[in-house]
Amino acid sequence: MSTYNQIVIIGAGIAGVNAAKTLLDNDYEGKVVLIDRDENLPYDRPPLSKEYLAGTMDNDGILLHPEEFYRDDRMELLLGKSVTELRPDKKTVILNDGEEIGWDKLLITTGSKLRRLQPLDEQNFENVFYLKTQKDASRVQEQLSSINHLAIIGAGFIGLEVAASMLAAGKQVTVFEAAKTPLSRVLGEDMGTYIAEKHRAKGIEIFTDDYITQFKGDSSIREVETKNGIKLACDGVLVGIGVSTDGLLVEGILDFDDGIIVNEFCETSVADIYAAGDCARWTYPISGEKIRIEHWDHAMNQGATAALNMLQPNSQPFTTIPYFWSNQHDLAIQYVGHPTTWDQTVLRGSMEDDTFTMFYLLENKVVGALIVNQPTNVLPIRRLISQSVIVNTDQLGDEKVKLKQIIKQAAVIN
Amino acid sequence: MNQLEAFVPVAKVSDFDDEELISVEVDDEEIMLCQVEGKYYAINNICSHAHVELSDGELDGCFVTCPLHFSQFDVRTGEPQGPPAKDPVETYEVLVVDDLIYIKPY
Repeated sequence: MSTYNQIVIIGAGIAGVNAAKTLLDNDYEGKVVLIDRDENLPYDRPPLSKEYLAGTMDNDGILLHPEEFYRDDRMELLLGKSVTELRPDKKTVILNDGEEIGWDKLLITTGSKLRRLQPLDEQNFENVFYLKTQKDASRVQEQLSSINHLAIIGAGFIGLEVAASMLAAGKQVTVFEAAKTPLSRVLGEDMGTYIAEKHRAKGIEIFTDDYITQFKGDSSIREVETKNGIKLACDGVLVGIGVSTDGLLVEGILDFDDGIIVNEFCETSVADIYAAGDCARWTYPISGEKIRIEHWDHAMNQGATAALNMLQPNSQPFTTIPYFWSNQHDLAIQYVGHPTTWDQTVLRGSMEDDTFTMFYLLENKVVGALIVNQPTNVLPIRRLISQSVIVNTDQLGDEKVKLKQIIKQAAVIN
Repeated sequence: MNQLEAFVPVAKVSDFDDEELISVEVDDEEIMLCQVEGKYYAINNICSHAHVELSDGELDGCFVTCPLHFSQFDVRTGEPQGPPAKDPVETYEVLVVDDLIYIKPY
């Protein structure tokens, strides 16, 4: 029985906003209440480390939707407010200003939280930056002119994208990475090395297997010193050491284990409460593992799927293969799949020419692929992974055999 | 008046024997051509969301999927079918005479 005629969405990132849009597009007749602690109109995050940081995209360009979108009578956008409590028994949420809002269905798309460097935070330097919100990116931009040499902590995708953006802006950039090879956990040693070398060739200094132990300066950092004894003069430090998710809001209410546990219909352990995006842990049909994905494409799609299931329960299983892209210097990088392990890699194309696809296979099935400057390959490969079929690895590495043909054959053999 | 006035020949019908999407350039405009059930369509080749060529994507019925963020565009109207793209891409008039495909650039 509907009582409030209202769906509440907590978090207006791409997952929450696209869920709201999906509800409206599918003629949901009640009201959609979209809540976010950020005071800015909902914006797109990928450009924060790229175009927005570089100053080639402005505040309007970064919006997920123009302001008119939220003026729909069926929509209420509450910005600068956070949810402090869930009351599933009454089907309400409590906001930080005490307001209580009712819902028939609730969607949690609260995303992830930055990992912070505690000792560094305690020193309160003026030129330490993180990158998660529009405000964070604006802060970097505002101080950009006073930064000549930026030290980046963490050679993950964000760290390396910022490195490339800053180099393009004429800055000197040094990156410190605690692992032996950047990105090796996701891409393996070879591909991690390949990408790191591309950055080095462009003039970015990358120190691996090392981390900063001392930050020196007064109100601003002027020098850092590492475990291995490297001393570097710098005038800005950007920390990109990943994100995590906490269960504070849902503790004791929803099943939580490094993410809110959801079923294939994006529903949590409590009926009528759904979760999607970075904050949700779901079962990846390809591997059967429970995974949590921190990518834009995933958040957008899972948000939409959650919305469809809120409209019609248990109607749309979520099966989208995880995908992300990254632009670094002249590399258009695309990655599809989510292998935690693989037993073989197959190269198709030429690493020398920076035009190739690296396939990751497990028991002769493609479980992931890194695609560099070969955008035509991404859609067929995504299909290949979702079909989960055994492929001919000789053909896979041979560019003379068309990818679509290999996929067609694989589907027939299996 | 010549029916083909203002039209430019850009491809041959036989070009579609091997390819489902073809990119052509006319006066600095990048244009994508495709064929759906014997009819030819032309739209701007650059996705309205990010600078990427739609001809690197895939055609499924009347819809072409962008190879970067997977927005789909209706090749008949240029309208996006879902996020992230919000704006349509330009469409162009197409004429086929014998084996030649003509389009009318802006």
